[in-house]
Formats: sequence, C-alpha cells, structure tokens
Amino acid sequence: MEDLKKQGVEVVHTQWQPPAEEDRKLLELLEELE
Amino acid sequence: MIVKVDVRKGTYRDSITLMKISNMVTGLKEVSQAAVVMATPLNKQFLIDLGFRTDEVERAGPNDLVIAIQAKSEKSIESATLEVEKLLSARITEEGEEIPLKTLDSALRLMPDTNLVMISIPGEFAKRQALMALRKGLNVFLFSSNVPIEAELELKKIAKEKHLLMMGPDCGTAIINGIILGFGNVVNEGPVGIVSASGTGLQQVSTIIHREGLGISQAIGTGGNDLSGKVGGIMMIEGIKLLEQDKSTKAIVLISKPPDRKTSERVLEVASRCPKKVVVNFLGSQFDAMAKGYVSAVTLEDAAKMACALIRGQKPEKTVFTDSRNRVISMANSESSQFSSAQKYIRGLFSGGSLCSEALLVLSPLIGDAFSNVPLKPKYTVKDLDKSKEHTCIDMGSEEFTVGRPHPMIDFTLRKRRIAQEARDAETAVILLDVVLGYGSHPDPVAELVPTIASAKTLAEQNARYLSFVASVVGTPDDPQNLTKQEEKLRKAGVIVMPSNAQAARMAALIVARGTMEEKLFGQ
Repeated sequence: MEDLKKQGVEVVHTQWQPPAEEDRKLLELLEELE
Repeated sequence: MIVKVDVRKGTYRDSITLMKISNMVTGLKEVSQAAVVMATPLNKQFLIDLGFRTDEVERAGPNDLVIAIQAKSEKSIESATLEVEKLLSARITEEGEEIPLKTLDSALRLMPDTNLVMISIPGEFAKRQALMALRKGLNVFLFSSNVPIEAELELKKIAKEKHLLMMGPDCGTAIINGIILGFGNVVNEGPVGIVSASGTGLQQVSTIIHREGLGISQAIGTGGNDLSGKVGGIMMIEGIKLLEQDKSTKAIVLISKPPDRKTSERVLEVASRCPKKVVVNFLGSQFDAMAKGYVSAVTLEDAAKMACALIRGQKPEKTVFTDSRNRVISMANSESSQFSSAQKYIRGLFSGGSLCSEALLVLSPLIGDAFSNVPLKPKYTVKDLDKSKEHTCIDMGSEEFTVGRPHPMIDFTLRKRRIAQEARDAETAVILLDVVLGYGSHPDPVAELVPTIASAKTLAEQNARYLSFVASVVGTPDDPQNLTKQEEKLRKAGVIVMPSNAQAARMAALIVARGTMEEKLFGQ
C-alpha cells in the first residue's frame, strides 16, 4: 500500500478476515446465497 | 528467560504486516526473540527452531495467528504483548482517523472511483473476493496463490466477458498506465508492451528494455497458471488484443514458463495474426518462428534486446556475454584457480521462479541438468528441499517456501540460512544468486546478503577452500534501492556481478568448468 501511495495512487486498505469465522458449513451456505 | 505463546484462532494478517511486527517487537528492550506468524507448517517449524515448541503451536492451524515472545521478565513480556496488540489493530490514516474498513463494499463507499482491486489473502478464500470485484465491474490483481485451477478458469471467463483484467491468481507483477502493481521496477515509459505469466520474467525483460534506452507501454501480468491446459491462455490472449489496440505499443513481448503445448499453439496463432512486432519467450520452448510473423527468444535478455532491435529496425541478435571474451575468461579463471580439488558444484538460490528456470535451461547444455524443485526433467527433482544434490538450483519463491511467509524478495531469512548451509558443503564451488530490486522488494537487499556472503567466504577460507559467488541484479538506477549502488556493494563483497540472469548462469558454468568450456560456450 505504501508503494502505491508513493506513486500517487489513491488507495484504501480493507482489513479482511476469513468469512463466517471459517465455519465450513456457514461458508458453503454463504456461497450458495451469493 | 520467559516464553509466552498466544494463539488467536481464525485471525488472519498478511505475511508482510506480520514480518514488520515481528521485527519491531524483536527490537524491544529485554526481548530476545519474537515471532508473530500465521501457523502454516513452515512457520510452525520456524517457531520450533526458535525454541517455541509448545502444545499451542503444535495444535495451531494455517489460519491461526501465533504470537510467540521470549523475554527477560514477565513485565517485558507484558509490554511486548501490548505492543503487538497495538500494531495488529493499527488502522490509522495519515490524518490520524481510524477507518474500520473490513469489506469491499465499505471501501467502495469511501472511494467510488475505484477501478482496480488488489487481493492478497489465503487462496481458499480468494475466488470469492475476486468474483465480488469482477461483478462490480472492477479489474483484479490477484496476488494469492493456491487458488484452485477451476476457480481461475471461472474468474478469467467472467473477466473476458466483461472486458476486465483478471491478473492472477499467483500474479506478483504488473505495470498498468505507468503504475507498478505488486513487485516491479521503475522503468521508462515507451513502445514495448509485455504480457507475462512470470513475475520476475517481466521484471528482467522490462529492466533490460529500460537499460537499452527504450521503455514500457503496459506490462500485463496473467498469473503463473494462465498458459496451463485448463486455463488455455485466456488472459495472455486478451492481453495481446489489448496491446494490439494500444497506440503507445509498437512491439509486444510474451513471457511464460514452459506452457501447455495446445495452449502455446493457441497463443502463438493469435500472436502470428498481430500486426505489431511480437517476441515470444516461452522458457524451454524453441520455435522456428520467423516465417510465422513472430520472433522467438531463448532467454529473457534476448527477448528484451530483440524487441528493442525490432523497434529500431535492426536485426535481432542473441547475447552470450556483453563483456569481451578475454575479460570473461580472465574473471572465471581468477575464481576457479582458487578452488580445492573437491569443489565442483553450482548451488543456485533464486527468489524468482523464472530466473531459476532460465538458469536451469542455460546450464543444461553446458554442465548437464541440475537438480531443482522446478526441474527441467522429473528425474532431477530434489528429494529433500533442504538439501542440495550435485548441481542444484532452487526456486525459493515457490509455494513450499512462501506459504504464510513473506516472499524471499522481501525476507532474506531462509536464503541466508541456505547460503550458510551451502558454504559448509565442501563440494560447493559457486553460489549463484539473483537479487531483485524495485517496489515491493526489500529496501536494501545487498545489505542483507553481504554479511552472510562474507561469513560464507571466511568459512571456506578457514577450510582451505574458495567460495565463488556470482549474481545478477534485476533493477534500474531509478529503483528505490538504486541498481548501480547495489551492484557496487556486491562487487566490493567479492561477488562477480553479471548484467543478466542468463549471463550469470553462463559465468557460473564457465567458472565451475575450470577452463574446459570456452569453445562450447563461445561457440553457442
């Protein structure tokens, strides 16, 4: 991200976390819904 | 000494952030060791090697964060732990405002003009994020590896339909509209476009084009699996079509590690119909291509120089060495004359996968096939990744070394350890290295390497041996690390520095052959 900013690029960073707290069943349900 | 190990289940942070945190906490007063890492198998072994063998570490999984601290007192442990917490939760903008962004949607609300999403998360979750971005009409640069090939195919088909770039998975490098994405070098803007399934291949070609006085229009990364049979070169073909339309592009260079045969044919069919000059470097493939409207280059250096020659209306030529024959032979003899009788092998330790593959290709007709984790032939696969056999070239940027760890272009821990190990081997004659500069890479790679090189040479000397180091530096004088200064520091440390990876491999072969290879090499 710092390298992009040094090049004058507008950038935002998201603090990603594994979805559904890695519960496999919940994750599969989420993917089906999507 | 007191040890504390804390495991945070399902807490992910990227390896670069964690490396920075580890380094900062290790530097605290009264802290003797600290490691903040994701509990991948390699990192767990690393923790055990550091002395953090605990039940919590044994039970931790690859999506768990481990905070391991060794310090003089409970008070020091407490201060260090607080510091780790502060660094893990830091989400402060330059203006000092905390922005708790956790999703793509929240990021897009803040910055609705976004047109590219860069994704670097564990591979098993990457498809979902990339799909979300593509569905919102955004181009994607996907650094993540370990993404199933079926997922890559699906993503690239969708990107193609929507006329979007899907760079990756496993894409580390691109230059789009003059902006370096991921790893990349500061190069001139100019008339050469690149489409590459190889990150360090792209970097080697773009930096040599810069050195030749020309520049890059666009450098599109496709990810390492684009030219596999399953994916079929989707992004490379789309890249060729884009560069065909781009007014700034006068010549196109295509780069890949050895591709699937049918995919190669599909891509070359498109290349042959392109009205612009096309140079093809599919490492390990040779074509009789002039009649079909594109030029084939065996090495990355040749690909770069041929593109420049074609733009200038000159005849494309191959390079063996840029220095004179006499000077090259003199340098090689000066090295080999100091070897003990037992010293006979090259040990190549590479941060770039394509640079490793290229070295194997260059070495093969000169000294025979070398063992590797990315060998030219399956029978030359190293059985033990941590132990060299005869001539060996290791790609230390491959997944076995980088899952949950920063890339070796950023973190030199494993490579330094391996240099020391090879130095202890009485049969090692030449250690062959690549050093890659630019954005994303370590701020001073040579400063990391020089002490280890010096120790290795001293150890050899104490055992009546001489250790030769040969290296090439991928970069430009305009890179943050400054190519000229990095090369100068390496030479001062007694390293033979060559202008390209291919020439470095040839020099290593010349040295180890102890004067028996000159006709073979200069007759190429």
